[in-house]
This record gives sequence, structure tokens and C-alpha cells, in this order.
Amino acid sequence: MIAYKFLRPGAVGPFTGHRWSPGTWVDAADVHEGLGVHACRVSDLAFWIGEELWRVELQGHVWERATQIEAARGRLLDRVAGWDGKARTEFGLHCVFQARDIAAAALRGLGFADLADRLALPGTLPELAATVRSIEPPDGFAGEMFGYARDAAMAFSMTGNAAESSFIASVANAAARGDPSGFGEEKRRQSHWLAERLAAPEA
Amino acid sequence: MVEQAALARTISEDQRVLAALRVGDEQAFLVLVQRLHPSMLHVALAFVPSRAVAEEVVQEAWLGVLKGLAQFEGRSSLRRWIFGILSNCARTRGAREARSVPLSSLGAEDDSEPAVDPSRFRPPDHSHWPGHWSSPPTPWPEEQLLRREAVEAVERAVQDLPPGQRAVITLRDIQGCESAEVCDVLGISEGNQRVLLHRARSKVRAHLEQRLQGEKPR
Amino acid sequence: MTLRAPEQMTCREFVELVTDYLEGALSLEDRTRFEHHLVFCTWCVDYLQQMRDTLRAAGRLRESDVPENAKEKLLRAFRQWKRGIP
Repeated sequence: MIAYKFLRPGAVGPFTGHRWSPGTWVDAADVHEGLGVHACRVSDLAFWIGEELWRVELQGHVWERATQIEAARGRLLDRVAGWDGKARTEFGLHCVFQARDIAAAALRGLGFADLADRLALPGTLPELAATVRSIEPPDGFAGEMFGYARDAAMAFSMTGNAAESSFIASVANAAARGDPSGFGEEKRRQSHWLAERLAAPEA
Repeated sequence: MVEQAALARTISEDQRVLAALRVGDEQAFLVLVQRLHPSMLHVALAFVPSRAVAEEVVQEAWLGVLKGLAQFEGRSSLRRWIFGILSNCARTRGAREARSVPLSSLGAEDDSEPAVDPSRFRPPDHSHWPGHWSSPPTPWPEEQLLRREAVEAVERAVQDLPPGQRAVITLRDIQGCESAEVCDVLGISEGNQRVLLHRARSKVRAHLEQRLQGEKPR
Repeated sequence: MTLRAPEQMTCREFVELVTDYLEGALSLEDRTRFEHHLVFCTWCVDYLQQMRDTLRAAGRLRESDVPENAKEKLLRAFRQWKRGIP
């Protein structure tokens, strides 16, 4: 079975520190309660954003878990070349503007049409950051929704942490939906956006 | 693989030390004392009420080690054997001194003992990110950690720990014992050991942070 | 956030679970939540590293000073024991 895996630079496992060698099979010491080889289905990608993205091959029984899959045996096949720093930034920006869109829609629904319009206007990150800084947050739930757009824009401007924007947009979606399942829904949407973009040929 | 290699190293190192001790090599004995004695005191203090009594217990344990040297078969590591002897001496003496607080509850003295000062996180009623860092940690430069000051800060922090927490972190992190060995020596459960270790490490980390960053953050 | 996505771990919960994580004592569910948090929270990544640094620093205490009088007493005992060696 083919799946995906995010690793640290040099094909290093982000949690185990294990140094993967492309093509070499790795057997899990004990495939029991999470000690197997972990990988992502396409829908899981946004949960595990890392610096390198690899295609992996898994063998043997595959356990399907909520946000990852696990197998007794796996090996790295090849690097997904389209996933680089530039792609990561693009993904981060996508999530920032997703948080913005979710917030604007919520504000419109709450009767804050002017605020929603102002928020929806900016097309670049610097413009969005300037806009959110200039707005006095309303009270209550409207303020909370605005805050997600603000926090996503400000945080990404400062640190460029795409995984963080992904998180903020997902929480914003759960808030807008009024349902915790909105978090996973947004994550999966992001994952599919990512997969589509990575499958696209070089522009 | 790495564990096998480390185990093999320990076994051959133990054999070397044992052989040296058995022919009366004083230097070998002093090196062993240097390595274990301070930790043995920390462990003894988990069982007996005072430093003076702890020192007696540790001296007694060393006598027991010498007496048993000829017969020691090396089925366990030297360190485990020595801490086992210490544990027996300490428990016996502890019972005699009628220590009022059983070890298993040491370190659980204060049930709510947060790992980090709660004021460093956004409060539960924060609008967006309750429970997230408001005063976050900053990475420590490797070279600062290697300095004498860092080692001294850790040493001081360990001295200041309550006895149960101090004994666990001494055995686990200073001596590098496995958790099963620690549970054996101290007569506590795995779960208990983890709680004590968690509290000990959290306190030592906080102390080290203070030392390395010059002042208490926020 | 706790209200909006309650299954997501907060930093406050994270710092309480660090030891269990390093011990391999977390349930699969909690370990996954813990790792999800590490993916985006660089502050908790730093905290975890600080905990690792702390326990490594403790390892450097292994060779510690023994008070002179204690050393002397032990040496005396050793010499006495030595005399009994065949």
C-alpha cells in the first residue's frame, strides 16, 4: 500500500528521530498500540505538516486510525518534490485566508456586514495583517470569530509556521460550525487542497 | 542494538571493577564510591528521617557490599546489587526510626503540583487559546548546558527536592537505572514512580530555566 | 479553543504529559494528541527539548563529590576488609 509521510530534513522521523534510508525496509519492533510504522492517507496530510514529504510503501496488515495509518513494515519510496519551503508557505497562506473567509462569513451572518467587508478585502498577507491590526474587535462571539482571522494573519506574518495557520483555521471552522467536528472537517479539506496542488504539474 | 551494546559494556565494566575490588585495589573502590555514594545518600533519605542517619545507613550498606563481594555472582549489575543492599539497610533502619510517612506517598505530598506555573498559560476563560502559553519557553543553547553553572544548578535543584522525588530522579536520571530497578529499590509502583519522576524533572527544569535565563520569566 | 475543539491538547495539558510521553506510558490516543500538538506548537517543542536537556544534565551529576570524612571512613573499612582477603 502506498501512503505519505512527513519527515524532518534528512529523512528523520519527527518523533522517534529515526533516520530513514530510502528504499530500505523498516520492521516495527512491536506492532502493538502505536509502535508500528506510521503514515498518512491523503486526508491525513494536514495533521502532520513537516519539512519533507515522502511517498512510502507499507506491507503487512495496516491499522486504520483516526488521523493516520500504521503498518508492521514500511519503506520510503521517493520524495514528493513539489513539497518544499515555497509550497509550505503557500499552504500556510491558504490556511490564513481560509481563516479569514470563515471569519468574514461568520461576521456577515452575525450582522457585522461592514466588518465582514473590510476583512474580506485584503488580497495579500501584509494587507490582511494591516487590516486586522486596525480593527477594534467586537464583543462576544463576533469578536471570537474575528480573532481567528487576526491571530492567523499575525502569527503567520511573524513566524511563517504553516502548521499553526492550519490549526487556527481548523479551530475557526469548529467555532463557526458550533461543532467540534468542524476541526477535522477543515483539516481534511486542507489535506485535499494540498494533495491537488502537489499533483499539479510544475507551473 | 544500542541497548545490547550498552549492556555488554556494563557487564564487562562490572567484571573489571569486581576483579579489582577482590584483589584489594583501593583506587577502584574509591572510584566506585565516588560514582555511587552521593546517590546512595539521596536514596537513603527516602527511607530515614535525617541526614545523619542516612549517612550511617550508607556506611552500613558499603560494609554489606564488602562482606558480600566474594559471593556476588554478577547475575544482576553491580549497581543494582549495591542499591539493593542499600535499600534493605535503609528500610530496616527506617522501620526502626518509625518514619511516619510511607515512601509511596512521598512526593504526592501536594496533590496539585503543576509542572509549570499556571500563570504562564492563558487562563481557562481566555477568548481563544485557553491553556496555551502566554509566557513561552525559549530554547537553551547547547553550550550553556555544558557549563559548570548548569550542572551546579541541577545539583542544587535535586538537593531541594522532597525525598521521594529526589530518590527517583537520582536513580533514573543521575544513575541511569531502568524504571523496574527503581521500583524495586524504592518499593513503589510503576505509576507512583512516574508521578515522582514527573514532579522532580519539572522542578529541576524550572530551576535550570531560572538559572539559564537569569530571572524568573514573567 | 477548549470549547471549540475539546479533543485538541492545550499546552498546559502538554507539560503535564511530557514524562509519560518520554516513558512510553501514554495511551495511543493521548500519544497521538500529544504528537498533533507538537506538529504546530513550536513552544511545546522547545519545552520537550528542555525536559530532555534537563534529564541529560542530571546524568552529568554521576561523578559527584564525596565528603572527606565519609571517604576516609570507607577507606578504613576497605583496608580492614582487605586484610581478610586470602
